[in-house]
Amino acid sequence: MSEQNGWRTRLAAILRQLGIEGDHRHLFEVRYTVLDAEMTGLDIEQDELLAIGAVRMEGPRILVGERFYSLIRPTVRRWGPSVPIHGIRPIDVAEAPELRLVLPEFFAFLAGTVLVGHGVEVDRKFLERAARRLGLRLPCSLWIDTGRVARWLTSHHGTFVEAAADRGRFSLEELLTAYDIEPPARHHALADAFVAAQLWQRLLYELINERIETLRDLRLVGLC
Amino acid sequence: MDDIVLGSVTEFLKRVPPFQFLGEEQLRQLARRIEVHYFPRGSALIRRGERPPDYLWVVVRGGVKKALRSATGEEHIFEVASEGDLVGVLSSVNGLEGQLDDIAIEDTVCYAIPRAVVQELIATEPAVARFFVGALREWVRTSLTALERQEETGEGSLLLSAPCRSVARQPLLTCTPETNVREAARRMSAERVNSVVVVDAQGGGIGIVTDWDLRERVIALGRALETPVREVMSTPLVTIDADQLLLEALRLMIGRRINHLVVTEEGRPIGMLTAFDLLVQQGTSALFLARAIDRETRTERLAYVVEQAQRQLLPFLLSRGIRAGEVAQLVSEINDRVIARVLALLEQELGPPPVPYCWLVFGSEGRREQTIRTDQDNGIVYSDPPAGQEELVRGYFLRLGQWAVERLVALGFPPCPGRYSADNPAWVLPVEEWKRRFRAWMAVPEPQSVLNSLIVFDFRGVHGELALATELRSYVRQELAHSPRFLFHVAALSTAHPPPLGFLGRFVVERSGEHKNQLDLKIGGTGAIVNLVRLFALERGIEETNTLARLLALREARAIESQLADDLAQAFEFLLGLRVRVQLEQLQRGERPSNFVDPRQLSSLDRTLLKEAFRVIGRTQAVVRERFHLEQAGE
Repeated sequence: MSEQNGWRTRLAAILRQLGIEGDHRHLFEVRYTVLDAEMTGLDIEQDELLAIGAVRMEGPRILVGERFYSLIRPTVRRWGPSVPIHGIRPIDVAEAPELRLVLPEFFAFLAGTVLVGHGVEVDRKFLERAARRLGLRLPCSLWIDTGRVARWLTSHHGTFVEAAADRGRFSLEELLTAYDIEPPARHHALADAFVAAQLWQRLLYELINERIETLRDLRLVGLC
Repeated sequence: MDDIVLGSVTEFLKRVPPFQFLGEEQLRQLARRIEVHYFPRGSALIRRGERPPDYLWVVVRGGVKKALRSATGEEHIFEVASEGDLVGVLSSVNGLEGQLDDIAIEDTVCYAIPRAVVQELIATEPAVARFFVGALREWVRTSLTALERQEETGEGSLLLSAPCRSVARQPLLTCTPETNVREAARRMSAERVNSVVVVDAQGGGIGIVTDWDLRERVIALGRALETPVREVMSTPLVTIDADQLLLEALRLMIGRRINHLVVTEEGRPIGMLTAFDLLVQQGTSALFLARAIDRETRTERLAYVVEQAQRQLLPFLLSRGIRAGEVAQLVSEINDRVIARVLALLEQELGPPPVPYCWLVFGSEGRREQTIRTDQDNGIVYSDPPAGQEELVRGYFLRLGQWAVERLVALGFPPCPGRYSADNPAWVLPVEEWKRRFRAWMAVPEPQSVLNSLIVFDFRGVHGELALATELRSYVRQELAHSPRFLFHVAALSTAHPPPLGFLGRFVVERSGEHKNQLDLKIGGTGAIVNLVRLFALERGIEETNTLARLLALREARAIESQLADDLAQAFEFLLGLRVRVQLEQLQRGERPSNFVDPRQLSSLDRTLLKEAFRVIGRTQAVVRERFHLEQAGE
């Protein structure tokens, strides 16, 4: 405990000296948008967004009614290796709106919230690139990756080596099993966002237990 | 179909009562307003005594224990809610504070339904409303068991035992008699209240204008909005003192069939108490029952209402620590309404009565001491018919009596085995004939006529021309003043059953038979007190019939020592309460309610109090025997 307070104090002092102000909102009082995107593939240069799903959370409460989901018609008909994973076929998106119509609406839904996702770094890259191409700006700056949070929590309890050596343990599948969360379906952007929200809900409580209580605390340990 | 999340929620709710009663589209509407909550093991969803939570929870994963910790730190778990079970029903339905601690016993995921959504469902979906009534009943059962097991904590939350002051809405919206209707309505909506009290220049309340008045007396009659409120207000203003108990307010509202009571302090209006406030306060709906009774147009349907009153209201009130005497009065109030409704419906069928009449109730009904369904004791008094029409008039009332008794039986009021009821021509009589009977009983006190008088002299008018009952009451008082011999016989009968307390204060129990090792709480207990107090009341010409009210009047008239009056009142309340508790338990076990209890099964506190109550009876009987120079009874 004292050791923990030690590094927190030191880090806080350093940040203060650097003039970085922390966000003191309690994690239970933050509005989150938990999101998931499906792409034609993972090549950031060539692949495109196919579907976006997102669920809102008020602190630890998941609001079932506040959600976003849309399929997206890609501009270039490139169907990479991802089709077998998400099961979205060309015919499924033939009638779907184009990205330039979907993205502004999605950004309006995100506005002012902290974004959360599992392995969200990939989604972030795709979204930021899409935004740039359309001349839009992402209306949020804070991102939290539930995979990294889970890993941090495990390393914090156990040994970091063990956690780092076993990255597979932090896949969404493994975590859902570990936390006994039943997915309504997998590799569906909305369903994945919903289960990621449930995962984030559990992790929130575990973070509080570890005395990571505010967004600033989360930033101090490098998780957002 | 893009709503994969909504779909998984509705699929789950489809298997959960009461949501399974909803249609597909309603379920989706509901799902849209649901939240997913997570409770780590050991965390609390609801804590006893804390403000009602904002949600009703459906357990999706995990489990929640509903428990109570006693003063000694011992934990009693009443129930464990698991997948598909509800947590927080009472709070979300009735807005009650937490009754128990609801704690997650493992990591638990719940669908949380905001309270407002629950309330909407109850208002719009009868099946959901019915389900929650059932859940309430279940809760009553649980809490009764809790009460029994947990006399320890000693902290009953006495909802209706709070003074009106504590609930009354203040400040009170008032206006002058000259304020016009438009202005009154504007102020009501600005203040979001549905009534305004009309006060005179001195601040005294003279009337009230409610939504109802505006609708019925202004809009429906097409009157101008410039009409001054004094022309449309309801008068007189029914008020209650701020220090009176809410229970009293409830009784007043039921009795007067009103929704608004003005709370006064030293006669000045200070706040408003509405039926809704009481409902919220009370958690169950005595008033709702009374309204239901008045609205019911078919006799059979009343049965359901009566059932609710008896099976739910009674245990609920008792479990909230309301004293048995007061609960009994409330139950009598509801029974009165049922009787009045049955008779009103019959008058429509049989045609209007040829002469004014009054429905009389005798015995425990007459004394307003009914609890668990007791036998019907009733009769009819009617105005002396014009010459030549005696038989015609008699025929009408005999039929009325016959039919009314039958219908009441159908509603669950058992017939009187001793035939002290209005289907017996002996108790359907014109005023003069009743008086003649009374005179005869008092003049020639035979055992049977004294017994009759004990039952009948507790009569009370319930429906019709109540003045007829009053007339009989004054007659009895006058005649008694000249009948010392009759009182002597009443005294003998009132001391005939000594309390079942033997040498060295041991309980005297039945030695054999159905009730072996049990003792009778009525004959030597409540019944003995009723008889003694009636004797005192008859002797002093006190017209009250309720035992506690008689004691109060006797005390004020200094007819008996105040200490003795208090002791008798306490003994009576205790015995009545114990009897009701025992009977409710018997009912729950599916047994026929009886007056017998095995003292060994009582808590030591109850045993001590029971002995004390019996001693008070014994002492009072000794006083009576001495006063009337009676021999020691029995032996």
